[in-house]
Amino acid sequence: MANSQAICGSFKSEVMLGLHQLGSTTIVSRGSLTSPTTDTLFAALYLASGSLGAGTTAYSATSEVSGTGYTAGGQSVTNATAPSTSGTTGIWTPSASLVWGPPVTLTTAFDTCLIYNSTQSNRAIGVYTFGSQTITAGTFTLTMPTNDATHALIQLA
Amino acid sequence: MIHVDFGDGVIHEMDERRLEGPFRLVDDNENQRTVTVEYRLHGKTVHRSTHVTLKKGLGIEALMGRFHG
Repeated sequence: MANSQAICGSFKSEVMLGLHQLGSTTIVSRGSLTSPTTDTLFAALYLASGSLGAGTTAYSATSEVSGTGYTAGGQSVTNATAPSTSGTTGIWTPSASLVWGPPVTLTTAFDTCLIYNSTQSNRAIGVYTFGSQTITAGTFTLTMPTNDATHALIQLA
Repeated sequence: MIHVDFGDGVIHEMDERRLEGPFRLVDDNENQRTVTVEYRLHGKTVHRSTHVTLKKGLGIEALMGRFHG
């Protein structure tokens, strides 16, 4: 098996259900909306031998990396920039790089980062792949793309 | 000082002057730019850090349905 880069299929329907709130907003028409705060997102790393992809619906520890300095579940995503529109495309990108370490040792090859919503039962958002990596007593940094209509981490065209 | 791991999962610090390197490896393609820095001791990698810059994310295409007829 291999990991496949994809926006998770479940996320597409959950967006229409209003299950994910990547920015703080107030929806006045919902009497039951009591806490209009931004959800907390996490990013976890997965082994190259994993099988994450469009069918991934939630965070799972299966195939997640392990090693010195890595915490299961990954780390929180800095989300200071709410979703916005660039032209006619809805866009969202984390506002800071993801950094594991220093130092961390991840000796088994990994190639995937899962972004998921820890506030909403760890529901999956997107599976992002990159070239296979190992880290030895070092730092793994994942820098985000430009937050515009053609590069943003999530683009809704 | 550089963090090093001799393969036992225990991380130490070593004076950079006692290590071979840094060796810098760059892989650049349309999706990402990856820069890896390695230090070695007697030919064995004891430190490896990687910085991946994602160049683009993923899109969702919102398609319109249509009424029959």
